[in-house]
Amino acid sequence: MTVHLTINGIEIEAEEKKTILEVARENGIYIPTLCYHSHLRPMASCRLCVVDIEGTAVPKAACTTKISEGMKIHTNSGRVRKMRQQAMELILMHHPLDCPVCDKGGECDLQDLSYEMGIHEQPFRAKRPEFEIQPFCTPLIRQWPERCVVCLRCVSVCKEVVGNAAISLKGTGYGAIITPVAPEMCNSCGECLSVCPVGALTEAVSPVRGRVWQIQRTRTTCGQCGVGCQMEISTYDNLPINVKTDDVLEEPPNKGTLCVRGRFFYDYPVSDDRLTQPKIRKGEEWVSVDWDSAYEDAINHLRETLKDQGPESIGMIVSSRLLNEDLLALVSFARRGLKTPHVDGSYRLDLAPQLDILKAVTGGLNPASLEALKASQVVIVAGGDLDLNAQVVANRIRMAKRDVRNKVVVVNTFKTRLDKIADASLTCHVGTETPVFYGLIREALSDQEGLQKAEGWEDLSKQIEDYTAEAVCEAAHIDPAQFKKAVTLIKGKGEEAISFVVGTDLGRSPEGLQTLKALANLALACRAAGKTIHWIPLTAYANAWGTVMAQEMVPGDDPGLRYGEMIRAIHEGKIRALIVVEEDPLLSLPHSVYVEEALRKLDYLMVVDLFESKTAKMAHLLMPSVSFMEKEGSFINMEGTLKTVSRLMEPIGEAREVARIFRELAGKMKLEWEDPGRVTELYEPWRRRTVEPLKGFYHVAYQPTRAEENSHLFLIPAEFLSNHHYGTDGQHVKAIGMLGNTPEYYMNPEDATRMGIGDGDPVILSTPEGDLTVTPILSEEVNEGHLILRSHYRETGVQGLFPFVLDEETGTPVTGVVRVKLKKS
Amino acid sequence: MRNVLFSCWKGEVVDNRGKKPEEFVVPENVPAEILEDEEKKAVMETDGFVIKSPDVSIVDLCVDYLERAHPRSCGKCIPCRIGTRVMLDMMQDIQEGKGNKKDLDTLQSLGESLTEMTKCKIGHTVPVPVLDAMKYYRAAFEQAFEGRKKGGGRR
Repeated sequence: MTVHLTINGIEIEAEEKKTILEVARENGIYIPTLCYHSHLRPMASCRLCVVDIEGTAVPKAACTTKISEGMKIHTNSGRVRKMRQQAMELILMHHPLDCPVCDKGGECDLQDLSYEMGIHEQPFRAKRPEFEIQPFCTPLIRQWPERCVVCLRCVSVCKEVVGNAAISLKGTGYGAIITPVAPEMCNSCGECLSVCPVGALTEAVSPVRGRVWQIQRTRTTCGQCGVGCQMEISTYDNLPINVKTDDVLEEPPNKGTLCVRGRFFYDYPVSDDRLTQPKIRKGEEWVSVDWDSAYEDAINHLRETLKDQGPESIGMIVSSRLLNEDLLALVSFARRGLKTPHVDGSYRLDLAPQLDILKAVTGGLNPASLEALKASQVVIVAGGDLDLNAQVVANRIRMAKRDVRNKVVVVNTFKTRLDKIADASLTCHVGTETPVFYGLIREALSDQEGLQKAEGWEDLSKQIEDYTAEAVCEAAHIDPAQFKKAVTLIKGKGEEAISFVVGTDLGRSPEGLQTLKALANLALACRAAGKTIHWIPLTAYANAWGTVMAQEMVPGDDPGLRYGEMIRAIHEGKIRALIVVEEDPLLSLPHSVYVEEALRKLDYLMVVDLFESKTAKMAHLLMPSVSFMEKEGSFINMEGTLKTVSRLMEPIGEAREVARIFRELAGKMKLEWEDPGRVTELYEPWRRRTVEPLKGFYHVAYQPTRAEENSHLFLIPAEFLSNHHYGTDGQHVKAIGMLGNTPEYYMNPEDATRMGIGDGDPVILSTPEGDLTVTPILSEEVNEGHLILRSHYRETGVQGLFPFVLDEETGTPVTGVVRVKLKKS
Repeated sequence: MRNVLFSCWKGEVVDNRGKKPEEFVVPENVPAEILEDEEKKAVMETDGFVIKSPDVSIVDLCVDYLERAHPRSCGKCIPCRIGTRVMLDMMQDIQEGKGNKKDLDTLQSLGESLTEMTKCKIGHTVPVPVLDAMKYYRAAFEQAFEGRKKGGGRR
């Protein structure tokens, strides 16, 4: 409904339920604020936005007062001007005059307001409060209590958006101060730092600082994961020094929020460990060479392999963190140049299992955008802890729940941060997601006429027949009350919109594809019952979709071997030369010993990377490439949208862009080079390609997880994004070194008692593939039978415990769950 | 109970100054326990203040009250958090003879703003009895620093 009001005599029409401040801003009428932040609920703490309303005795805060019909508002009366001035004088009374050395100087809201209001005198005086300086929740941020205006933005963002509530206001009166109250909850995401209007929280990572007029800020897309967050990276003299989102607050998909990776891991491009020159292996030694010699070495060896073994003896494994431009050049080089079909990307580990499901559910490559969250009455999250792998998505879920009060259902094998806000928290036993999804169809939807009339219902009804609430709770070890809540929410009133946020963990488990199909059946059943569904598959790699596009738009004569299959083919002697581009199979794939043996068997291993990764150490030729900050082009994010990547620094040393390296190599090798075309020309036709949607439902062959033995647990690595760009033990990223945390293993105390393991006892985890000594932490939060690993970006060595198993259909290596035997060390 | 010399309580002002005790008006709004408490010569709360003896220092009464009232500010609204502390510390300065006439104007202006601009009842009400005290006992406040100036002979 529209209401009519006047502000300073200007007649305005606006939607009801808006606040005075919102309406004023929409109409270009200025009201000063300090605590207000468009992404947070109003704190109303600064009182600078007070306005006079005719007929109201005292002024009202514009940020919290809703408009109403006939309201006559005055934003600049003498009374409110005096109040604002006094509020500012109070704030400034003891605010330190260290602006010249404050990081915020030049872009500080308090400076701007002081200047704007012309605060020249200080009529007030009081004793200076004394604050105990204590360490902040995270070493990545420094707190300056004396600079704090206690606007409470940081407290709000930590609670509302991040869901941590790690900090709070402690004390009363003038002595009240922001204090870490639950530092163990802090995950160093830096949202508090980002919203601080003054310099009370500053970044403690970069050794180089720069004034806003000395630095350059470049808008780009984060290259750390598949969300595709928009941000600005500041550079000072070719050094990235911080990451900001102040000027991209309204940009999807992240709307100004970032995670610890996006905000603090920006320094790996300038790490001292960067490769700056090509290197050729001479025996045990590396010899640095110029690019021409490197190309010559590559050409000689590749030609030799082509001549002796044929094109199909060459394989190429590429990172799905590369730009579209890089990926198109690589796939073209392999398929059109070398004529080998064997080129695959690391997206095999995250997106590949989701692809056919997405096509079946949406009839094309149509992942829903994160904007769908707000338009949904129910959000179902399955497959991992979003806060570890895609915190921004978790943030958006929390923001949506806060704003539209929708309901959240979490299905996972261990408690996640989102479980804290979940309306139904289904923490199930490993491998029992399918019974849970089928139980939900049976209990919530099977009586719906629309579903009963749907094609394929006969088969689906038989599939779900046995999954009564009782049977599901028994099999999956979940709380019947929580299951009942989930049933009620999904049943709903009929025509709700439901978002399915599908994490990467499901697809990596041994029965991953079946589980995803069961989840798809739940979504399809919801749709048949008259609901709208939004399918939101997560991608861990920044350009998983771009790899799919490159492969689909530059098809080979046959699909070629997939990532893991190439390792097998090396063992079988079918692949003799391997080109690895910015990917580290030794870190990504299961059973590292098996992978290492394969790499040793190669006649020729050519690696292009920023760093000397584990795989790079085994290479015959090593060529230096550049990070996403040193090149321009685009990514396709998890929502399937094209995101621009900008060059914001000059390449380090002689490092070159991947696309350039392979174009030059093709030219020098005189390969028949057919340019795949520009990304912007390929993208739209690729996105618009539709496929036949699935008729009816999937038929899922569910096998209950293997019987447990007393001495075994299921090891579940909760964090997927261990990135070789960060380097093992974080030597390439300063922030990881500062965080200093180690991998943590959690197990249920009951299991520990049964196995005779005490808290703090080291134990040996063993599988037929390898052993690993760890010290589990006992936690009631963990389901019995599980061993949860939180790795905190550290090298863990768990890859060595996994057997080399690939999913038959999708080729995805199984890295989600492994059964380990526990022995006391 | 004709013992109240002056009271300003919940909007009711009773001024018995200069009257004979038998002419004293008994305030209606002041709670009985305050009126009956022989020990207390004066009381100040957010609801107001009561003075029973001419010996009472109004400045001391305000300082004592603000010392108790300031910690009630939860800290979640900037003017209340800082403003109530300023009122306390400037009042203490006046108590110690360090104030001046301008301070009284500043205090009054600040107190008035706080009652209208703060977020909740605490900020709205804390300054009220102090503002009333300054209104009805202005001379006593001025004496607090003028006396010191004359005697101390800073000039």
